[in-house]
Parts: sequence; structure tokens; C-alpha cells
Amino acid sequence: MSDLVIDVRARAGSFELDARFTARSGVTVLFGPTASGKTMTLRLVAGVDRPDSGSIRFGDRALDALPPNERALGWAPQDAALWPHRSAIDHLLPFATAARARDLLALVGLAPHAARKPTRLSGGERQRLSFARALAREPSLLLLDEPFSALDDAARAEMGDLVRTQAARGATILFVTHDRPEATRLADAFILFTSGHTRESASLP
Amino acid sequence: MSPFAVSLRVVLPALVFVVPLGAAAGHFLARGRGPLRAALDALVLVPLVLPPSVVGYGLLLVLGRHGAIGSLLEKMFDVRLVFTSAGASIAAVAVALPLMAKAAEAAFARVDKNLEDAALANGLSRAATFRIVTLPLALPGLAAATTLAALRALGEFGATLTFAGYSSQTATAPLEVYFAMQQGKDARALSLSLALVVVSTAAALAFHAWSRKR
Repeated sequence: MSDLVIDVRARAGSFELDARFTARSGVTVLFGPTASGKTMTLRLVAGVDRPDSGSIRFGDRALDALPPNERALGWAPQDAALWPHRSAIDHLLPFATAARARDLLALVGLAPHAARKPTRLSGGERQRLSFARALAREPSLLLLDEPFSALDDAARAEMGDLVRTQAARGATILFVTHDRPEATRLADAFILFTSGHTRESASLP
Repeated sequence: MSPFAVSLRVVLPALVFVVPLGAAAGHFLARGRGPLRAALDALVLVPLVLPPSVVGYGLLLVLGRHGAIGSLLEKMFDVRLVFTSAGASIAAVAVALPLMAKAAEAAFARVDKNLEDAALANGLSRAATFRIVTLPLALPGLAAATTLAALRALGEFGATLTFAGYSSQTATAPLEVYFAMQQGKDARALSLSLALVVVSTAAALAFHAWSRKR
């Protein structure tokens, strides 16, 4: 199975990130206070921001040398980043066949809303759609940035099961959350973030 | 030929160049970085702030019968630009292209970069991201840019007169207003002016209505 080995330094204003950790196949929960570098780390792995120095490797591939669209990963960004002009199903069709796109929508509970645009979806539904988009290509690396923060507990548990399914097929998953029960339920490992520094841990502090 | 028919023969071919080139330049201005972007930004501003007569004179120096490129064109291909509708189109391109580029830059800059990033990071190619995300979201702004550029080309006077001169092929509506006035044909100058006011206002209103509907 592929390890994600992160060793990067990056700066945003006065904030300095120094992230060093390894995530193995399964769910690695990134945990820590707001503005401690979790989202920034995911953006560096996704390739939409560049580190000042360091390297990001996934298995035998140097991700940091690749443009974002060649990193073969799935990313559900913090704000969902849905496309306002496209319907729910049209968020998946660029990545998957029509049949698989319909299956994915059904999987995240959005089958009845296939034709809706993001403005007509609730906050939770928008997050489910963003999650489905990240899954569409069955990537072996998934970056999920507070993907279910707008969902109630029942829906959160349901989506959590889908994340575990991805882990079971061998995917490496970075999962950012502030929710302790969700973190303990999903995690195989934890990375604790404190003001830009990282520490690997077997449990929550 | 009516002055408006001449105007169309000048403006439409100009737009064939202005719209795609201006949109491409605008995209580079909005998303590009580095010295090349800075150079293009400055280059685009120059014709916007220069008097059109200076732009026309510059074109004449380069593309006129004695210009570096103009003399070559005449010798090798027997092509003359002065006093032709092609020359008038080139003058229209020179003044409308920078405007299209600046307006297109604004249209692309308004597209949330996070939406493009979400496409790229999930595996779409740059071309697919542009087609699926960027272009549709920038389209209303690009339509506005095209309207502006078309009206600027339609209203072009100074560069056309200086470079392409006044002939049956270059007698666009704005030039005809001026020469009708010079020749004391006040009724003709007035009716052409009113027609230009109507066309420009109608285009602006049509665009306004369309952009509100979206």
C-alpha cells in the first residue's frame, strides 16, 4: 500500500507551516485548532498552493513535481467549491460515465436532486456533492477538508461509513475535522496540528 | 454603399480578430504572472490612452505604402491597406483589441479561482477546466467585453481617418458624419448621428437586459 510522506515548509502572511508526517493506507485524521495549518497542508498536497521548500511523496511518485491535475487524487475543499452554473449530476459527468455518476449521486443520497444547481442544495447536500466529486475517479489518495461539518449526526455517520469503505479498498485518506466523536470513529491514525507544527499520535489529546 | 454597410464590412472582420485575441490576452492578464504579464499589461494600456490619431499615424508608419511592412506587402503580394476596408479594419482592431483585453481580464478575474482549483485537483486537464468551469462563468463578462469592443470599433474615427484615409471603402458612419458636416450636408450628418446613437444605445440596452436575465 502507498504511504503519503509529507515534509514541507510554507508561509502565508505571518503564519508558518512546518508539516512532517507520514499517512498510511486508511484514514488519517488531521486534528487541531482553527488556523493551525490543516487546510494549508491539504492545499499543498492537492497542488493548488506551492510549498516554499520540502517534498510530498505518494508511494514512488513525487507529487510536488506534478501539476494538480496529474496528482491523481480526490479533493473535497473546505468550502465545497461547487460550480454555480452546473447541476449536481454535471459535477460528476466530467469525471465518470453517466451510469457511475448516477450511482455516486445515489450513494451520497442526492439521487432526487440530480438536476439541481448548488444554489438549490442545502449546506449538507453541497458537502455530499463535493465528497462525491472527490470519489468520482476512485483515487487512491483522498483529501477531505471538514467534508461533513454541515451534516447532522445521523448523516455524518452514514457518510463516515462511505469513508471507511474507501479506506477498506486501500485508499490513503487525509480527513480534517473538529468533531471528536467523528475523529475517533473514523481514524486509523491522528496528526495533531499546533500553530503550524505536526505530531503523529495514536489517540486524541 | 450606405455608411452603415461600410461600417459592418469594417467592424465584423475586425471582431473576428478582436474577440478571440482579446479574450486570450485577457485570460493571460487575469491568471498569468511574471514579467511577460507585466509587459502585456503595459502594452495594452498604451493604445487605450494614446490619441487615436497617434495610433493611426503609427499604423501608417509601419503598414503604409512606405512603411517597413506595408512596402513589403505591396511588393510581394500587391496588397495595399491605405484607402481600403482592410486598412479600416486594422485601425478598428488597434483601438478595440486593448479594450477587449482589459474588459476580458475583468471577466476572467471575477471567476473564483477555487472553482478552477477544485476541477484541476480532482483531475480535469487545464483545457477541460477552462471549457467546463472558467469559460461558462466568464461568459457574461466576455459578452459585455465584446459589446464594448464592437461599439468602440463601430465608433472608431481618428485612427481610421489617419491610417486608412477617406475613400468609398473606408467611409464608415462616423467618418461620414464628419465629412457630411464639412460639406454642409447638415441633414445627413444629423441623421447618421442619430442612427449611431440609436444603434449604440440599443446594443447597450440589449446587453443590459440579457445580463439581468442570467
